[in-house]
Amino acid sequence: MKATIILEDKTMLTGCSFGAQGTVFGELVFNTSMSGYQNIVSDPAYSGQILAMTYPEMGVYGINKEDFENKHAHIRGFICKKYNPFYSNFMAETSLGEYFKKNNVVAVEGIDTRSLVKKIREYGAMSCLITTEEINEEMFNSLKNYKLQTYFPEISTKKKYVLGEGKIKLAFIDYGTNDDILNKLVGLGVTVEVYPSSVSADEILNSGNTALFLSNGAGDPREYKNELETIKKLIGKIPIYAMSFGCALVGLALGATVEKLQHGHRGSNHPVINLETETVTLTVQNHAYVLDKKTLTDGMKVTYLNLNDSSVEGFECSKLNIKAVQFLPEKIVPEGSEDVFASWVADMENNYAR
Amino acid sequence: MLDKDIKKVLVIGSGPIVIGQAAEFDYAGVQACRALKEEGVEVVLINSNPATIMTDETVADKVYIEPLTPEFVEKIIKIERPDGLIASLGGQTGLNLAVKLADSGVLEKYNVRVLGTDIQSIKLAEDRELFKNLMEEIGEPIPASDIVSDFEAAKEFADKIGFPIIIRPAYTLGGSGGGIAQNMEEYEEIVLQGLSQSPINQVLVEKSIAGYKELEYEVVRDSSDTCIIVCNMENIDPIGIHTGDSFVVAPIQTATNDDCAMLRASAIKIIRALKIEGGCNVQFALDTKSNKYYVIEVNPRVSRSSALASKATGYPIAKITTKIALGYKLHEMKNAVTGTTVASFEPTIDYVVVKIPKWPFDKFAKGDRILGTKMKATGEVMAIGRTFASAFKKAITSLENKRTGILHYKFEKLSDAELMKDLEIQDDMRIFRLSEAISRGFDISELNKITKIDPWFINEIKNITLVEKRLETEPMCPELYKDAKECGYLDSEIVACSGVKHSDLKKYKIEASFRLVDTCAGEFSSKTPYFYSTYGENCDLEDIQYEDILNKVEPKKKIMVLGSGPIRIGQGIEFDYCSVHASFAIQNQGYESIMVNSNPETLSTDFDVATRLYFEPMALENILNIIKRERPEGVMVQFGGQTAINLAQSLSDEGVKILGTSLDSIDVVEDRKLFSALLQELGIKQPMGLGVKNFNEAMKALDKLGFPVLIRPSYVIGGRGMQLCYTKEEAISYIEEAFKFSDGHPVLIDQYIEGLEAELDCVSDGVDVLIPGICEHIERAGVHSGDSMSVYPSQNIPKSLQNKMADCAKSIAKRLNIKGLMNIQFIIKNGVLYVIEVNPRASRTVPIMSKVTGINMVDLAVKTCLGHRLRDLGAPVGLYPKTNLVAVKMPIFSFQKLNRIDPALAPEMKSTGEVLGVDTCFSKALLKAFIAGGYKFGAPKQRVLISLSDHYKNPALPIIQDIYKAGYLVMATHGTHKFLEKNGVPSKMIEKFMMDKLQKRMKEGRLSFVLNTPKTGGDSQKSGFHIRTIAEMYSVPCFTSIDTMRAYLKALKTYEEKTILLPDTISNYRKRKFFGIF
Repeated sequence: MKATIILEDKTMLTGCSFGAQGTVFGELVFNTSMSGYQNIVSDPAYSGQILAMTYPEMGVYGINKEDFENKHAHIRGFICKKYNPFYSNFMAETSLGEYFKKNNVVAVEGIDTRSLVKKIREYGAMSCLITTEEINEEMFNSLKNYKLQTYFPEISTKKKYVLGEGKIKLAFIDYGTNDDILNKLVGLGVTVEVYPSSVSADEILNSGNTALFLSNGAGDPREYKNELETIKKLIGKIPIYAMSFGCALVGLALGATVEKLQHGHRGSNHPVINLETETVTLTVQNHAYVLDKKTLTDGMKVTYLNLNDSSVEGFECSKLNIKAVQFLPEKIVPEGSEDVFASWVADMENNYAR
Repeated sequence: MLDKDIKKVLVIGSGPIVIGQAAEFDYAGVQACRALKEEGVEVVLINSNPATIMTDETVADKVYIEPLTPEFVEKIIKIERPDGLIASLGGQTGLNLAVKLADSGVLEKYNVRVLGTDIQSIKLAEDRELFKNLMEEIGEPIPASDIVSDFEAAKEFADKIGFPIIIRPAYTLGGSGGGIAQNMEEYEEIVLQGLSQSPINQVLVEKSIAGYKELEYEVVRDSSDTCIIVCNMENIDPIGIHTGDSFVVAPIQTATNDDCAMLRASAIKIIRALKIEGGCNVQFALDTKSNKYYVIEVNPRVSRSSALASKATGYPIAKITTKIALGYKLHEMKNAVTGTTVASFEPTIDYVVVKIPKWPFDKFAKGDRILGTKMKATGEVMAIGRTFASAFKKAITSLENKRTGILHYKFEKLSDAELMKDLEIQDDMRIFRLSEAISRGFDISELNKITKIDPWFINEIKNITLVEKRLETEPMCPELYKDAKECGYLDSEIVACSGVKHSDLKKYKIEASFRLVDTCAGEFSSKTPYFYSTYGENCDLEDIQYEDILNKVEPKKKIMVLGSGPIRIGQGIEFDYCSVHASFAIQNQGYESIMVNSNPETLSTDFDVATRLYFEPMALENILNIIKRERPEGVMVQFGGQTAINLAQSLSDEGVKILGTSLDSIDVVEDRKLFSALLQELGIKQPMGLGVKNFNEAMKALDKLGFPVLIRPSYVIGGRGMQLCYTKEEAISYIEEAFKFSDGHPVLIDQYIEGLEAELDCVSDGVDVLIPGICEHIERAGVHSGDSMSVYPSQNIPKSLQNKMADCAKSIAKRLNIKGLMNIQFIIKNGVLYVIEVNPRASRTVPIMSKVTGINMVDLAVKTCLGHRLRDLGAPVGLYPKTNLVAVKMPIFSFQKLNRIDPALAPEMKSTGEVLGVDTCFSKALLKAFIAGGYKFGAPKQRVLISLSDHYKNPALPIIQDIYKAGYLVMATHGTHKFLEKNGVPSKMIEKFMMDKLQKRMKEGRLSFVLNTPKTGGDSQKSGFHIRTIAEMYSVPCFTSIDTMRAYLKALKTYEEKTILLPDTISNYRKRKFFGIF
């Protein structure tokens, strides 16, 4: 069955549908990872987005229970060069196509994704639609008037909950995180109290937690006005650790500004240098907004830089006890590689544990 | 940062091409030399292989073409006093040499630092026991195993673990001497063989995990512990088949993200524990039913896999390894592909890469085709496609087999039951058997159970197979055509399957487009000139053209060079040497060079070598697609061996201009009748010959020609299926086979003139020729020129005959208006000169002749192809004067890797590589050639075994007398013994080859060598074959030509006279005093 992609600039591409029926709008982004489609499509940080994978063969090892970031899909649409309903892996339970159908993701294969990437590389991320329906004028109009969603309060947890039973107690504000990150913290011996993004500063301060963690998430951090106010109230009162989206948020709260990257960092091969140790780590990334180096305020020290485009990949503010990184921690850290989460937990244990 | 104390570096090459160690180390070595020079470091290079590009004086500052032995390397170190050496770039040979030099204290004595990965790390990774201990220490799982030095210990392990067991000898390349044993009998045989082949008499016996997925990680680490995975790869064949013999895909397809992350973490942990600085390859086995994995092996060096990974991603591993050795960190270097990003990143690709090995079984019809832990492929092809299916199909096309499709490999005749049973056979045809089974509708899970190939791959092969089936059965329509093109089917195949006319396909308007290999999946704009084709997509080439217009770059004229495809016996690295030089020469002439090739091991497929590189099958359609986009002035076909020459006619038919020698002239030398007429016209003699179509004609021809004769099928490379027959019986026993080989074409019968064979290479502009020199073969005519030892300059040809040879070359070149290279082979008997072959193209000996004379033959050839006259170029013409440099070429064989192949020299080529001994006189050069060829001198003289066919008994007598005088005790077979007795040479008679006793003797090192001339037909053929094979297995020298034997005795004499052999650079040898007249 046919599916059509229409871009903001009226480019039209047709391929074969292999997911849900219907029409979806979103921001077109691309990811360059060669494996891990299951983790990617279920990552809340892709909320509101239509994702093109640069690697061509999708669905090879099917979908299994264990690789889920957050159970259900968060992307709106999925574009790839080649999808094959045949899958093979002892853990697989269903195919990627079936999963998309169940999760209402419109998916299309048979697309020249490399040309799409080149377009985004040149013109920046753009609005797009995918439809399995007949094309009509209305669609072009809707796309023209489509406003990118930049604020996603709905992907945060609705209610506070607690994970793990560790010595260190950590308040964790969920802007749209995933299980891998929570599991990793729990695995490091941390009790994680997960709060909705609407949590008040007082509630955090009265929770008796050792430190605060600002999670990854989706959208434009500048649109998170209330959330920013909350963070501003917390700065200096509790040690703060922040990652990805959370890193940009806390930077904004400190008075720096963020800028949107031309085409975002989405993939698993982004080289980041730790300026203190001069070691380089290949990181997984998923963000479009980074802190503008020139606008960092007093006390903010850049700790990590992206080696490809020199964007800020992390900073710290020692007098306010803030540490933040823009990249995502690896799920499995090779021995001898820098493990940011582990060092943060050690930091909490050594300096702040009561 | 760059270590400024390093000013001079020794690079050790990998020696001759053998199975398991091919052109990938020339590619690595050249990258290393260039990287060193880029940093202002003086490069001293040693390699015994003259066909390599690394031994060019433009690549290294000092080039030593000398034997790769610790003694010679030490002498060179003493002369050159390098600050450091890099051990990890010269394959297993280079690595083993560096270890020996370190162990013997040479490196310390001369204060030579090992740059990059150090000796301790190499030992940790290479020594089975140390490695095993380290893995246990860091908690990485390895299969239950034991290191044994004798069979008793091995048996103990087997009793404990049970079969099947894998046996791997320590420190051997390509796993030679290893295997899988299913029972005690096989086990004993393989263990003993492995022990004898391991230089340290050690083998690893290991619980077999055959059937697991085999996955590889190419890791690079710098001294600050930054590690990157350049590429991961999955073997389509499961564990149990050597990775060099496996179909391989990059990146990994069927393992989950978590499994990949787990293995990535393990690979990085291992490379850190080993403290490797530079590139390294880690092989894993992954269970298909759990996340359980084992570490199989680590190669602490640049390898065949790293060459593949470099070509698959564009990431230059050897270059980066070299820079790391010089002190750089990964993040201090730029990514050479994008030019904007850094080298410390992990390449990500938006295509799929498939590698398929090229085996020599088409040549060795009787060889054992079963694949196991011992590598048998001589080369490989790689293909890039946007999908797995297209990459896979393109790779099959690249093999240059008669068939390029996936069906009809003669398995149609098998019954279902037979086919099902045969699917268990692990040989070179298994994928085609699999597709036959798929086309019959066999169930995927059933096929997976038998073949252990992952169901996903089987399903993909099914999709490709079904397209071929549909082409055969369904009417052509746009959808079917699109499916076929996207699957990688050629128009020629589509026409053949569907019966549709070629011209009718044009209406579907599906054109090939070209995409860029850029290491980053398009995320960053890149300027790499490296492309592959796909269908139904946009073209990245236009970006470059658009940018050129923007930047107002004046478009240059272009010339295309065709490479030579996969390395196979008869078409080796020498053609890569020629292609690469042609590309350089084209650029030097102000053109853009367009390179097309399908071989991932070679330098020609390095994107730095040409203006633009197309990694494509060497098939007409693929090349025409490129020509359509590039619009070159013309194509040069004379540098890419037979692969390129074979394409000339069809390219020309499509209106493509062939630069250089015209097609008509190529035709004249390839067509027997025209060729004979030409020689007659020019008054040049040739042996009489006849083409015959059936047995009766053959008998008549034999009566007319007399004996001996050479019988061969027409249209073959490297003398395939050629046989020398001394008697009618022998001829009759072979002729039927020749008809079978010939496939409908006539069989050729030629008079065999048992004279001195010689050859020359020349450059011609159609009027003048430049002949750098004449090579004389050591073995008499009848041995394939690629397999005979030869010497430059000729030692026994009178000046008058040399001039006559030069005149021949000149008159042929003039008559055929040869533009570029030409090779002529001669026989001289009783002062009469015969021409036996003319090749209007680059030959095997072009690199050697270029090096020994200092004449860049390919450069001149390109210029003459472009219309320049030699005289105008200031080049010398005529027979070039010799210096007192003498070079002896020795062929190198890979019989230890191939079972059931007769090691006897014959008209059919069998060698895989060659070494060159260079010195100032014949005797020294000869001894060097033998040493470089791996012959040991100075061992106590034991018994020798001699068995001669009747024809050679008389001519061999003085040689055997010499053997006896040299102090060897002669054992001889019945006939030979009687003959020796009659002639007064004492010998001990042995009964009909007492195989067991002989084998024991060889195993225990109590046999110095074997002299055995082969005989066609009969029992002695079989027993001779057996004895030669055993000798090969136990590395006992086995001479099958009395001429080689004589040369060996001469070398031995030189050795025993305590002649001091010194190394020198090739340019110094040339510079020494001239004689002769300009």
